[in-house]
Amino acid sequence: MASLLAVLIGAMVAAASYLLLSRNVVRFLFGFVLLGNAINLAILTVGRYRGPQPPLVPDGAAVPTAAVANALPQALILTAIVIGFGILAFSVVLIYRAYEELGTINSDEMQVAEPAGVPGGPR
Amino acid sequence: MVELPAFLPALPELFLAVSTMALLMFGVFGSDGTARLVGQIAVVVLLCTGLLVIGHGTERAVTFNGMFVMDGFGAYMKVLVLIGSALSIILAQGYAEREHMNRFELPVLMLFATLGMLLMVSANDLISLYVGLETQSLALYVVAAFRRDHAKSSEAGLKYFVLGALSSGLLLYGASLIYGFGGTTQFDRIAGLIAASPTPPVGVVVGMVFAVAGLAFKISAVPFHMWTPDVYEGAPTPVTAFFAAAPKVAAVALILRLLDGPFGHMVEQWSQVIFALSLASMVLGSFAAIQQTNIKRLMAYSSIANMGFALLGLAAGTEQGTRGVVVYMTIYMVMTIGTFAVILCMKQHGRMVEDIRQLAGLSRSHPLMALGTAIFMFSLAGIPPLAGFFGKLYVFLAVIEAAAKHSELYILAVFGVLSSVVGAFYYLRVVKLIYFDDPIETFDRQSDDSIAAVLVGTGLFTMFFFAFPVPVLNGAAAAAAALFTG
Amino acid sequence: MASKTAPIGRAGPNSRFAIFRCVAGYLLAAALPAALTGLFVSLVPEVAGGGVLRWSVDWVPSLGVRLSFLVDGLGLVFALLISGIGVVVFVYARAYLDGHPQLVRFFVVLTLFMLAMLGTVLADNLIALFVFWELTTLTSYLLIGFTHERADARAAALQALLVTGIGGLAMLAGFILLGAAAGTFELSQLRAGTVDVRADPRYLPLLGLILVGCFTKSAQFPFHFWLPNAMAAPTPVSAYLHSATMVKAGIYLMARLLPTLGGTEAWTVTLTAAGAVTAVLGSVWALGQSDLKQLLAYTTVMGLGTLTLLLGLGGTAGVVAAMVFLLVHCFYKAALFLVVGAIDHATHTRERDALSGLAAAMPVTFVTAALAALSMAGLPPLVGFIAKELIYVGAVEAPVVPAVVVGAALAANALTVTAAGLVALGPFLGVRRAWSQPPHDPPWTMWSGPLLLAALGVGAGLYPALIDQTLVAPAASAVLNTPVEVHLALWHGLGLPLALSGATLALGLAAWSARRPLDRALAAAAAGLPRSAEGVYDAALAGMKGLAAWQTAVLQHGRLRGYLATVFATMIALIGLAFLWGGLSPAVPLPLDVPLYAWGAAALILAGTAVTLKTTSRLTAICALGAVGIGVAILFVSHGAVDVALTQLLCDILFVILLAVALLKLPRFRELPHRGRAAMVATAGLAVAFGTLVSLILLEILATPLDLRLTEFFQSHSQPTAHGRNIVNVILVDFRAFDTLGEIAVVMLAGLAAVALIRVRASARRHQENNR
Repeated sequence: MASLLAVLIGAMVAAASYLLLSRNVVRFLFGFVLLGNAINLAILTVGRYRGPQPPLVPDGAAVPTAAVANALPQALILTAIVIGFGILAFSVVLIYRAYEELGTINSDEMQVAEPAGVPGGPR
Repeated sequence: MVELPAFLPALPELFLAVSTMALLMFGVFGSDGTARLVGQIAVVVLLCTGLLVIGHGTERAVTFNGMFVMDGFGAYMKVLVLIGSALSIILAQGYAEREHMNRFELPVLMLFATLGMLLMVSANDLISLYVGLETQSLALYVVAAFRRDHAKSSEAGLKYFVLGALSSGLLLYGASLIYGFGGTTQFDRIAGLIAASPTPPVGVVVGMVFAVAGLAFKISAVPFHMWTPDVYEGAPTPVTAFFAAAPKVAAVALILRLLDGPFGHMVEQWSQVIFALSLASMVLGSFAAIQQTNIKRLMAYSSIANMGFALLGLAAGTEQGTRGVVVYMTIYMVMTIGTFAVILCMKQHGRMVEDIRQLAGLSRSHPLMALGTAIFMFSLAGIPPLAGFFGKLYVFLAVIEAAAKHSELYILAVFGVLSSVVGAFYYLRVVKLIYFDDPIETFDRQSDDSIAAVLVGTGLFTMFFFAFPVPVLNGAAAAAAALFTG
Repeated sequence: MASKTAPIGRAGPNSRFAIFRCVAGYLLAAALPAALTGLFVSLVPEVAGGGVLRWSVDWVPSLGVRLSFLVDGLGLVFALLISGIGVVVFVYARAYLDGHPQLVRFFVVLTLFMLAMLGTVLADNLIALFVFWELTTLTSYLLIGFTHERADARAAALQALLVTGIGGLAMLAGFILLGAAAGTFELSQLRAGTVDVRADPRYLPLLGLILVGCFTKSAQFPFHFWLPNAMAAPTPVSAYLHSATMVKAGIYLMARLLPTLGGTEAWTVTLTAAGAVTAVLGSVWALGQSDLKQLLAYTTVMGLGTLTLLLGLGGTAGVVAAMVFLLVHCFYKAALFLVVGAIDHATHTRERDALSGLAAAMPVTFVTAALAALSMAGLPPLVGFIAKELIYVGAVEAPVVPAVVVGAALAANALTVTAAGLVALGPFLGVRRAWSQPPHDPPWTMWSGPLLLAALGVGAGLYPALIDQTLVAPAASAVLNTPVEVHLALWHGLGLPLALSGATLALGLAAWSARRPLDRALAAAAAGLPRSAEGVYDAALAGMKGLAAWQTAVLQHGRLRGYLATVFATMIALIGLAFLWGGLSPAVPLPLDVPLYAWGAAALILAGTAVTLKTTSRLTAICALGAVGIGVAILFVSHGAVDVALTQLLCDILFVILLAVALLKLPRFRELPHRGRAAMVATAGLAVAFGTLVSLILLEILATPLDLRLTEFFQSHSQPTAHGRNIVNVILVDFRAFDTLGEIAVVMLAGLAAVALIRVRASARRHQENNR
């Protein structure tokens, strides 16, 4: 299981990187989402695969009776998912505002601070 | 239920969090005129938080199941962060009113960012670190884009977000790798595991590299610095002051805690990474500043170079080096805020100007402002007996001492000296403009007392640090000792 | 050259500067240096008796740094020169700059300079010494640039600051190395010599660094170029800083460190060579100058070279000669500078060709110039003669190539005789010229000081006892770190030194009589001589600016994509580096334990990813990302993470809706220009490399077993202590409550942040409408 996921994560990260390197900020956003998913999967993977049994303590027992999944990475992923979603929601607003203000979603054209073709920026 | 964790060590954070929420409510439901009041209360809140931090003392206390630590190091850095934030909010007050961006959100967001920084300083767990960092970053993304009506500001916000989001991703991925090695994200346990293994496994080394890269963004170390000039220029000036001061201190504190703490036994590995970051930052920051004509961009490169110098002390990998970094950050923060107070005084016909050449002949029209600027520039150039010199001195002392064992550190020291020289060149050019050149157009009379007060306070510190260095040096020594013995 | 005496704007009689216009002003200006001179004179008997005064105060106790001062023979000589010549210069400057609108500022800076200079020569701690040293640089910057209406003064000030400042930094690096090698920063302990620094492997670098500091400060070749340029300063400043005091700081330091660092081949060869070259070139260049002040500046370079040469020799003879010559040089050179100032003051020119026949109009100035020049030329019975004899004594005993050393000294001294004639005789003898304003002697405040200095040259020559036991012997003892007996006398007996003195005079007079053709020859020769590091200085400035422009163009191009690419490239390099350290042995077990539905989920993810990459439709991309999210959720389920999967699905749905609503307002992808094929390949290469590395690290980590103690702790404590059956929930709510709180704060903050952004935008729009 782990090796499948490791390869899968690598593929996702490669695709995400490609999208992040795009000049379209919306595609950057897609890459960011993909990267977030890949990282969450990575946390899951490094917690090791211990079967599909959820980490629950059965009624009447003090500890899980069978081998259950590693609970700690799950908790960490939950934190990461929620934070990631918050940031994503914010980023949509940020990109929208930037588009309104700058009139483009092409990051190459966002050169107000350092106009292209003028060495050393604004004189 | 498990027994309630001890809240006392985190009292400052809790107080700040509750007060910030209350202020937010107050701002939301208050009338339009509340913004100024919110700003003033925010300063008071920061002051009280600082008192709580000091009140707790320097006793090491770990709470929340080992996720939060409070110690001498944390106390010192938190006080520093709080001072930086408070001064920035004070600077922002008058500016916001003049520039018609007087919104209560600005101080509230700055408070949120400060909360994130305090959490970062006290983080004792990779995930807590991540949470603190995100709290800070989110607030900073917004305040960077806060300059209304200003395309540069939007652009700055977006660029900062894009690079910052990537850096957070890197950090989180690094954290997952470290978890995959040790089964834990808690600093003390990680330290124990690394100490127990003869050579650190490559997975942990890579995890550490990712984490350091993520943090390098926040202190704008080369090559993760690219957002800095654009954001410094695009953000409202008091926000830029804020960017240059408090978050840098918090991120450096975090790097120190992370590398001296859990990764303390991997000093062989991380010191090489820090070596590279430090070298690149010093050289690039110093050289790139030469060309700048916009004073905020100049300060951006200056801060990049300064972070290089701070990392120089860390690269030494010793307690003395850490002490040097702490001293350096203290002095850097005061000088930086002072310089931004000067920049906020650069106003002609009611409009802010940012071109360095506008400072020409300042000594004749505004002798006091000129003196202040000269003090900060000489100090940034590292000319004794001003504070900036001592910041560099303590770092260099530590590096040379450590170089007896690791001779490659001599290279770093040499480049440090060389970049100081280059840096001195452009700072002194500003002094030459102020004192020796003919004025082009004079600035408006400064009418804002709070900016003047910040200017005088930071100027006096920079000027007379050499006479009264003991409080800072002792504080820094205690802070560094807390990291190494705790 | 225009003089500065024309008042630039007199302050009114009621101005706060008025006090400076009466006698009280003079007293006030000179009070501090005079008091200090008195103090130092009172210390002479004790120090001459072998006493060493030390004063120390805690500075940074936690670091063991102390602020300590030391008065021994060497320090006292310098302190006396600084404060004594200070009195003369302060009084002179008060008259010279009369009516200057920034007179107060001038005196404040000049006083600061004097104190810094005193600190430099009296500090016992190397770091404190450096602080004072750089303070002299800083104040000299302000003093050189004092007449800053002139562009050359501004450029010269910056040049002097940069050259000496950079040298100072090198020196600091050397000090730190020295401190590390010797275990102390206190000069007094260094001289105690418990550790022989000369045997330390760091000796050569630290010596080199410290000498760079000394050579830049004391204008040794090839760093001498800033000194003549600094002559743009007001003349009293040149007299004080650029002949008597500041430029001697490097000499002071070399003398001070002689017992610690000296005596090695490296020391001897470096100092002797640098000193000899500087002395000869300085005197050659001096004769080529048409401006009297420039001429004096180059003879100062010559004098400093001679001092360096003598300290390089290192023996008793050399050190005694250095100490005597130090005093002598200060006396005559300061006097001559002030004389040139008086000439400038009276005639508004310093050009040699425009000056002659002033003797009758300015008799006192002429006498002063003549006395000083005789000392400079080294004629008996002036003290300059004694100094020159001693220089030859030292040169003859040189440990390396004595013939060359003697030759260099002879050449430099002979040309100095000529230079003395050019300064002291040229302007005063010869045809009297017609001046628009008849020149006259300056007021007594401007002639008394220089005359006193010149008279000291006569007095010390006739009565060498005035200086030998009181100043020279204690100073030489301090430099050599052993008691030295010194008895100076005009008559040294017949011998090689006397013969050399005679030869010097003969050569010098010959050069003087042939000065017209010589001038041309020297000008031609000077053009052919190695120029100095000034070209390097200019090139370095240009190079720095070029490098800055390059970095902006290459790195700070403003294109976000490029920034991100840099980040990825850096990460790839860093990870590669980590692999190099750690080695790599990932295990790739065949994924046999994967249930079919997990294979399906993986396929779904891959398909979704591929579609997102390829599509130009935003809606398709969003749906494909949604599918990826579902696949990830299925994988969560396959790991027993049901709660996580539910959260993931929820966020996934919210995300699809949010994006669909918001992004449909943005322009379509295909409206954007396509990236070029090469850029695409490069980007894909970066992305694939990064992804591959990520996979490799994961496999590497998975190859080792995980420490599950913490997991087991949660499993065993979740029900008994926290009374929860869902371990994940227990961890979130109880064990990691802190993170959960923080996480809630982040989500809240994200909302606030979004609202704040929208509100700022809205208020901007309102503002615009209002303005319209």
